[in-house]
Amino acid sequence: MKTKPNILIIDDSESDTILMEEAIKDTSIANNIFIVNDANDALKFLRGEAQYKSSPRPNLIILDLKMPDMDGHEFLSHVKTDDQLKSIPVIVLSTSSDPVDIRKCYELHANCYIEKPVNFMRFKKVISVINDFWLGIAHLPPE
Amino acid sequence: MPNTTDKNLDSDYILERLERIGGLGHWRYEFESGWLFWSRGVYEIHGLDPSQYKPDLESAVKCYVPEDREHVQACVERAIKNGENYTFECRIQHPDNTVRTVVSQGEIELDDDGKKVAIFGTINDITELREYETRFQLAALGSTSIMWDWDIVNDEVYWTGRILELLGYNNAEEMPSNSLTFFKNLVHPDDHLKLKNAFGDHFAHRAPFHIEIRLQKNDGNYAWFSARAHAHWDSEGRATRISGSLTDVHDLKMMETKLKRSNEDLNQFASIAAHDLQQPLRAISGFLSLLKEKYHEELDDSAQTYIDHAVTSAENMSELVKDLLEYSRIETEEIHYKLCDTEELVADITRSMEHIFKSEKFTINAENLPQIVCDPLKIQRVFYNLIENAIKYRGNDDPIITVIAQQQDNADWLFKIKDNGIGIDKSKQEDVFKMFTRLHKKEDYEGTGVGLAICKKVIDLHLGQIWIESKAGQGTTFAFIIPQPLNQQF
Repeated sequence: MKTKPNILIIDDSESDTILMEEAIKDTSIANNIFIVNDANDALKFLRGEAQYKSSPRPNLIILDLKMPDMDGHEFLSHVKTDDQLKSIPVIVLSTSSDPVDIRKCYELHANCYIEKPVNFMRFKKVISVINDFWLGIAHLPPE
Repeated sequence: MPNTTDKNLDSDYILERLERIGGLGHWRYEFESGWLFWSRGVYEIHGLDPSQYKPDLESAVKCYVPEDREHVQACVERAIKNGENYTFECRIQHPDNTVRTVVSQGEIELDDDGKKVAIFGTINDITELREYETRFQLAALGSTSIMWDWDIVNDEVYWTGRILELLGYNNAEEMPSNSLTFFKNLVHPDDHLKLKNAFGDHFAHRAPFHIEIRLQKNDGNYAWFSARAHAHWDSEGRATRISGSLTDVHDLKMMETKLKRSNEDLNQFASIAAHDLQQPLRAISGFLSLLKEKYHEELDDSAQTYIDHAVTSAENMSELVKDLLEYSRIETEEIHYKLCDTEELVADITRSMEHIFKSEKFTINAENLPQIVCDPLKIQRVFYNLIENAIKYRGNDDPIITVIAQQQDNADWLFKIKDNGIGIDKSKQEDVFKMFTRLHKKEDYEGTGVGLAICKKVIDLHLGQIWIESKAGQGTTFAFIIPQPLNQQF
């Protein structure tokens, strides 16, 4: 058995992150979940800077779009142009269904765009499908 | 030898043809004998019959309109007195009261001793020419645009008078110059290249000349103008002349910029509002669901029902926010025309419906649907909403939905989506396309009341029409027309 995959969740909404954790708990694959509420902090986490010196490299990033200060698009543009980080799959999970937002994410090399459902059952389903696909079926980049 | 008969070479015959074709006439008056001769052309121009009228000076003057007579007499008398040639313009009145405008020219004949013996004159009918000029001048005067004409070969430019007003000058003296260079210098530095390219493309490739540029007015400020023009090319394809119009569009342009900015603001506002409203709704619905899931054992039946109501309300509100956002987006987004296979589009929607309404049995018949020119993303929404409605507002029988298309005489496409659902009462048919119209209780049928308003907005954007043919209890037919562009390649 491989070590448990690390998932980094970047979302400024506390309620959303709690719901996400609850939903992930119910999935069959156990994960190490790290939550960061700010995209600037998330970049430090990925680069092992400041308080994140000993944080592990995540296998998967789940990213919210609309965040104060640095938003998801800007975060993507940093990560996907950084040779050390660009291989980590980034899943955008956002409330927005605006075609402009979706197109921009893929142009910035997001690996997947999912609209965040309001219905909790559907939300759980989305999390479980992300788990099944990205941590079950898909091969992640070798470390 | 030229193939002509004697008659064709006869100088009288040539003169007669010359006068007839050119609208000319000639006359001669001998001072001593008092003999006045009129050519056939003169009779024609005066509308008089040679067999009915023999000209003499006194009565000839009466052929002119009363207000011109004094002037005509004065001109001729002065010419005789001073022995000078003359030219004047005047109006002749026919016996049937038609008025013709003529140019009258003449010279004095002298004998070998230098004595004035006769006056020889021509008149030329220029009525049509003056008519065109007057029409042009009135149009130029009444128009808010000015007309310009640039002789490229000689580099001379002509403008109608309102150019002064347009550029903020009170009179022609105030304007430093009327040369083309002067006007070129009025063009905003950032628009020079645009203007140069527009001329270049028009002269070389005959592309339509229509640009919007800024010109500096007398007060030093720049204002927006719209220029349209068309050139004339010589046999070697060189542009020799270009004429066109110039219109002050400054206020329009400012409004347009303001409108664009306010649309952008509104769009952003709607998008932020939608996001910030979704988040708390997801929290309400999510935590209540968690509560029910985790504390299932401790909650009695009514507590569970309360939770269900709260969750459903939060989710309904979330749908409403999304629909409102979509409605506002349709309003502000530009329309992107493409060729679209409507049969494929309906097939995609059918698959979605089968997924969404898994537990329902329904049939969608859609065959032989055409390829049309439209904004596919937006039109997809129309088909989606109408088909979804047809399943949602079902009667007792399993829904049967038929989509048909008919091409109209003018090439536009008429689509009809028929169902066997509950139908819509005639009195309510006009209301359904308005925002938030719900004809049914929320408990009976889901929906936000925005769906049909979105359909109407999309069809309006395509400059089409949408309407309902329905009787309560007998199913509904939604019909809509999507106009098709003529002679356009997609």
